[in-house]
Amino acid sequence: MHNYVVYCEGLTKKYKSKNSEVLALSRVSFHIKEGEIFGYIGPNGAGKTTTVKILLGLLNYEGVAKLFGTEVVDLGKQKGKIGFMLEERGLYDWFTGYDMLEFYALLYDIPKCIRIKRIKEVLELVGLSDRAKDKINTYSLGMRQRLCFARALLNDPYVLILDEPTLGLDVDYQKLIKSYIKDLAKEKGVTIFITSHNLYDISQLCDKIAIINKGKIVAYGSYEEMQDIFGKKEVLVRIDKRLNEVERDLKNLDFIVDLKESNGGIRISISNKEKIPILINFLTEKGIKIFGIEEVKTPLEDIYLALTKEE
Amino acid sequence: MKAILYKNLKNGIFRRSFILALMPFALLIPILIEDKYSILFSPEFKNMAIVLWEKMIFYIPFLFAISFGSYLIWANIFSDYYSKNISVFLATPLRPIEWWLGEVLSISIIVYLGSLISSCLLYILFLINGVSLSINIFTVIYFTIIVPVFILGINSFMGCLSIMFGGFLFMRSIISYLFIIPMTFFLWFLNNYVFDFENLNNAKLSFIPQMSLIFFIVGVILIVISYMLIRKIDNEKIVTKTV
Repeated sequence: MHNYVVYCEGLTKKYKSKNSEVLALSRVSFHIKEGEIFGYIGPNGAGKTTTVKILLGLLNYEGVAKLFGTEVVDLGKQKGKIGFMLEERGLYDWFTGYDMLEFYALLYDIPKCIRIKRIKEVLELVGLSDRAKDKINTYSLGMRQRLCFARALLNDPYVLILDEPTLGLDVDYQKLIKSYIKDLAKEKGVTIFITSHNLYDISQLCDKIAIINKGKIVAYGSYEEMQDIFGKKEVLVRIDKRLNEVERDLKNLDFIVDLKESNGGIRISISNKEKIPILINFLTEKGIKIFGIEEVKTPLEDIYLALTKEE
Repeated sequence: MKAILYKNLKNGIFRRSFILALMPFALLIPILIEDKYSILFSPEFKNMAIVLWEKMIFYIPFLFAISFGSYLIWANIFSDYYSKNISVFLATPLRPIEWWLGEVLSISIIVYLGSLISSCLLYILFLINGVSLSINIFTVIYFTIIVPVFILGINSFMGCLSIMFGGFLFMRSIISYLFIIPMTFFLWFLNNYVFDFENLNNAKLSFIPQMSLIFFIVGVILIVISYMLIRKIDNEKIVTKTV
């Protein structure tokens, strides 16, 4: 357990109202090591924001939620080691971008000698140096988002908790922020927790992913592990014949689940990946020329949709 | 706490104090009007304004604390609730008690400065009109100890109520009305039992030290009650009540 920077075990959260009790999280468990990027995805209302707020010490909970080996409710000044972006931006329109960051630098108690330098660094990083003295009410949505990202990095965090970090950003800045997140994890060992609806980004960035639905984690592991468990077992075979010419023969094989023409080849769904050599032998024996064979990765989106669709 | 002070400083704390300081002078308008306009104002009204003006030098700190102070502090806290900025602030190492203290101190500075500037301006106007108020040790104690403690007490309590109930939209008006009723009674008490305005033409202030002690105690009690209440508030109570 001590190797984990973020450790959640049996995390449960109930919202109580007068007549009812809503179970927002039910025995959620995940563990994140130092320098890992963890993706947390799920439909609206699944419990993502509740988890984020628990990790930031904003909500009470049942179970274990530890950061740096300390329960989040007892973090106190250690919260200064966490950088975050929430859906609430926490910006004052009448502040300038620079003043806003100075305000947060004071909240984090960053010493005066490094405060100014650090503010300039993060403003430079998000490309807001030339707008630092402008009031925030003149900023676009993307600029506000960039300012929030600058704020998240201001305290040189050990853990970065990002709720939809690329929301509202143009393609250039999305790319910049994604590459910066990767660098932070790899070079500085910053542990990163991301929630996003952009599943492609999550599959590209994250070492581990958890899919949450209705307050429960329905899948947890690396993208590759998820594919093994939940992905379709598909291979794309490029041969010298068209599907209708080989369909009858292939359907005789008991491990073939589905066949369709795709991308200049035949996309074959199989019941077990271990059957691929048998398939190759079969095609060779039939005198079919194989130009290429590759495993088809199931997009995270497909896994996500399969696991979160309404029953 | 430094950050909250910084925020309010950037929001024009001194400019706001000065604007506040000028507000009571609206009562001077009928007095300053030329004779040809005086028909608009009856002599009774003019006299009333003069009497009020003279009394105001003693009322101002309390008026400022009760009306402007309590208004400013709940406006500040409610705007953070309404914009949901408070969730973001509390995700940093800031604790609710520090947020409360930062808001209370900065608003109290505005109110205290406003009341001091206003009182000084009125005092100067007294002098210009040939009315001199004697400044004795009690007047000094009144403005340097009792008034700040009372302002802090009122703002602490109002800030505490705003943090505890600010997330509920309907509580906003209830808090302000509930607060105004006992405070109006307090002003009445002030008028009738604390200051003797009988001989204002001689500009003789009869200041009762024992009563000033009561104000001091009221201020301290409000600070202590607010502190005890605010200590028990955790982040969830604030975040989940955010509108």
